[in-house]
Amino acid sequence: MKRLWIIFKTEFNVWKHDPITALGGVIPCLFILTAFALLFGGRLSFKIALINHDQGEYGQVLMDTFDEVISPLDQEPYYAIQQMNEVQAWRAFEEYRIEGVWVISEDFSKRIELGDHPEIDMHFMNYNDDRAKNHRIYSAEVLWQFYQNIGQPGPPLAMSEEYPLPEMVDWVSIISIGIVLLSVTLGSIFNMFILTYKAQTGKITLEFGLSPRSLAWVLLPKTLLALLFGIMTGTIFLIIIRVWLGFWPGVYLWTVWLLVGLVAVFWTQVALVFGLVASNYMAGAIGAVLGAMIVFFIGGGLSMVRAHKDVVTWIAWLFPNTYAVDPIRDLVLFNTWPVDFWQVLITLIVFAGAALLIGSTFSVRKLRRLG
Amino acid sequence: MRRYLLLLLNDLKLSRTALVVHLIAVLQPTLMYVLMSVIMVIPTFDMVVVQPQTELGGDLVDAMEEVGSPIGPNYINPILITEADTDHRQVIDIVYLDGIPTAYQRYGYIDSNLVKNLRNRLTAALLVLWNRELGSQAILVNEHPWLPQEVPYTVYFGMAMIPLAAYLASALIGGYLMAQEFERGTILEYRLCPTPYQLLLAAKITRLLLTGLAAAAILYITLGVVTGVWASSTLAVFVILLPLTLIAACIGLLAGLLTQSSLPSFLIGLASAFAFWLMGSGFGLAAGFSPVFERISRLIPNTPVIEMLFPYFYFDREVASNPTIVQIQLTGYCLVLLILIAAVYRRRVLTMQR
Repeated sequence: MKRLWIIFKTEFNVWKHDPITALGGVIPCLFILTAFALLFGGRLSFKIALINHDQGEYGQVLMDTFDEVISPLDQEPYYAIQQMNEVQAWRAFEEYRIEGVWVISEDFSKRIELGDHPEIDMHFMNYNDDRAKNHRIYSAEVLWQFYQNIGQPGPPLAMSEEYPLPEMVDWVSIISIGIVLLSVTLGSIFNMFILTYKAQTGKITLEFGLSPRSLAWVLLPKTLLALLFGIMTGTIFLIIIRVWLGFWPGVYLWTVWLLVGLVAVFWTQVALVFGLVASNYMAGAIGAVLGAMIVFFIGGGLSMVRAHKDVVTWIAWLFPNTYAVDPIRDLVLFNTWPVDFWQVLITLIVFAGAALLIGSTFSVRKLRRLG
Repeated sequence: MRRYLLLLLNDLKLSRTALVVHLIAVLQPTLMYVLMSVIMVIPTFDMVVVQPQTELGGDLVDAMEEVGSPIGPNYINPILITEADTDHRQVIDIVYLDGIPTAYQRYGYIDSNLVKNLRNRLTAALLVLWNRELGSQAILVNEHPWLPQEVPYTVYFGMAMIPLAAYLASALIGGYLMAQEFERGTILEYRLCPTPYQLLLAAKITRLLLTGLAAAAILYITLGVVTGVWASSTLAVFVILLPLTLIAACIGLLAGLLTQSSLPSFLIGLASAFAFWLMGSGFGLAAGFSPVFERISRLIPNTPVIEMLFPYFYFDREVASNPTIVQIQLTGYCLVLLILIAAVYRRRVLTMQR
């Protein structure tokens, strides 16, 4: 035990010498979180101009309707109407400074009154099919409300909905939990690399290889420290999310630590193998970190895995992050116990166990053979 | 000139000492693009509906299949089930509320963006039924799209990743190789050699430009193969990428010079590459987001580069609001960074006390 403690303290001293890298799980993730918050956290209404040529009253009613139709995305209207004249509107649309121009014809009201196929011209941006889709389905929301406002006979089928929580969880919050897991992943990887860097560059691996003692004395403190710092990095992000977005796991904090800890164990072993025995150290480091970034993007970092199961690629299922991210969202954002908790826990234990077995066996064999 | 070429050749040969690093840094964005293009958001959503027992419910399912683009895909793929359970992200049931037939949509634990998308689609389907009932009183929306055809999101996403590819390769490799000079002690040779330092730096930067552009070329070709969309002028694409790659090379070299250690310089290159990509119109043109985001995004070099690339992928349609200002902005960034790198190089390498 004393030997373990001595090595643990030695490793800790090594760690203290590289503060920038120790923040490897924090710096990129903070940039990414800020970027996503700015990207999707602001007002996302489509900026459009309205050109109302209508001689009657319904054109104005339609214009007023735009502000009444609220998007659940950000609790703002779907459209932000820009105050500009016709010439300005067309120029802005051509240069893509606004998303669209709606033109209400001069006989719009008359045609509504006569029941003579009233029309609207919707000019809209379609540089990607998702944006074009939004224009089409947002316009349906506006027309739905407009029909009600002008007193048309009610729809054949009304619409109602139910959300399981009093307040809706927004998209940035969903992404933020993906970033918590990314920070744990990068935190454990970078910290493992700090702990193996000097050993690699200073050729101390040769001493490891010749050691008469079990190499567990070397590997265990590194794994524990990297795991600890990985979890600490994730906790820093949980605190950031608490302050910024208002979510906190509360009594589920221990469960969150358990899940992220198991994920971190997996990545510490990946980093251990690359860090201790890769013949090209930096290639291993860069490969592991960029690989983790890819896993973040394809493994549910940006959206809920459960809600998009059909599009999650098989490669993503080879990494524990894909399994862990939704249960962590349940615990932190929805403050609810994940329905698949035990199944996910067993899966993560299998991942961590397999990684420990393969990682340590591979590292020990390579070190003993090559030093 | 001959000396410059020899230095450049020497720098290019250095890639043999870090071949795997080069391969990873150059290929990572392409790999990421290929994987993400598989999971990219598609307009068609599965929507779960409890098997309707009434004619009206059947009409709704039919209407769902009508919602979509007249020149593209349907937006709803109705999935009929016999009983609603908790496993679904949403489920629609036709019920009577206060005697009124109602399409009742229950959501699972999902986020507001998904709720928005599901609600909008249901509204659009229900509006089809309402319009049918209103007959000639229904409002017809004449669609006039900006482009003659709808372009899949994978094209924009790939186009916006080309600058990332150039940046990442240039910054990571620049930072790594410069830090390696310190770690291996070879920086002393640079300090002692009689060659003007400007020439040494020029060779290093040129080599990083070539590497960055090679990474961009790989992604550009992949994008073309995956989507079938190619830029109307390939040469223009690479000319536009030049200033950004130069900026990345300078930032990478600065990171290497300042930290003198591989890991932190790699970290700086990585963080700046991904932050610039995300903030710099990586997910959509800056004008389509909030005014605050747009203002910040325009300060990041990726945004003007993407706006200049845009017409070459999108039927020559311009989106850069002021091309002259954009060019001045990029030139300014390049000049400032070149001056900065020369100053830092002098301080860290030439006048450093040993």
